[in-house]
Amino acid sequence: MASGPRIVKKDSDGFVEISMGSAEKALEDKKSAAEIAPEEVGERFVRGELREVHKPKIVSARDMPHQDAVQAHREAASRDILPVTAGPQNPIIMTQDEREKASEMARRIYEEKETEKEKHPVHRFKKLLGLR
Amino acid sequence: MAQYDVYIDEAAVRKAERQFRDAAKSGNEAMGLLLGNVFRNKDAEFVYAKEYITAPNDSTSVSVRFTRQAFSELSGKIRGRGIIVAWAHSHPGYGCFMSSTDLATQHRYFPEKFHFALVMDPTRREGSAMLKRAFRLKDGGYEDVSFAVVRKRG
Ligand SMILES: [Zn+2]
Repeated sequence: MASGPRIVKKDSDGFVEISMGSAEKALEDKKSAAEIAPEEVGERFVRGELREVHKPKIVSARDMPHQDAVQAHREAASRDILPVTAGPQNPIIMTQDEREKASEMARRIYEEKETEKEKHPVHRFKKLLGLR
Repeated sequence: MAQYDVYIDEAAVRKAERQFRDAAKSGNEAMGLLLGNVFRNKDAEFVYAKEYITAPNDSTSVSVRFTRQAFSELSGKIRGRGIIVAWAHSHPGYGCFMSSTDLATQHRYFPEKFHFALVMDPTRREGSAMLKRAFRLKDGGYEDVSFAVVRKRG
């Protein structure tokens, strides 16, 4: 089984660098870092209630013509989700502008929710009592 | 068995959801790491992510990274608790997909075949849950992988 991972400080952009213990050792041995051995487990290893599940409708679209693959991926993605996952050949690249617009929208949604909450009589009552 | 590529403990998912929801209130992204292990049953390999850890994020609405001070805090949290199997981050308001930056991050820090990226949009729901997707590198791009959120019995 793999040994413990380590986080080492990263460059000036401040992002973390993560070093897998076993991967590091493997590198020393000039071996592939992918040799982390999975632990063999029994049939009933994952026990419990599955609360949420997701299975991609199309696992591999490699054999399809490119246009069909993109189309299939779009159809496979949940209909109410935009932007959809376009698939490996065509990752969606949002412009800075688009992302800012989206997060602005998110902020507004939350603001509205907060305002709604504050209007609620329970909230006003709590405020009156100095509870929040 | 191993009907799903990835199993994530429910408590870990809820912890990430709380953090993402809080960050989204100010329009910000947030991120953290999932710890767990890689398992095999017969020929099927799968990942079980058991724990979500995070540290103060230095985030804006369009990017997220850990602050310098968070490094030591995180490594302290990780020691002896399995391997890092994934990173998780939020896309408040813009859906679940891997951006070009996300793909670069995945290549740079999470290149192993068991590594995945969990992306959630705290403003969107699917059924009664926060919208989420798991992705892995594939053929120079990425693919959507199957996952299940598990509530442990007993
Ligand atoms: Zn992202």
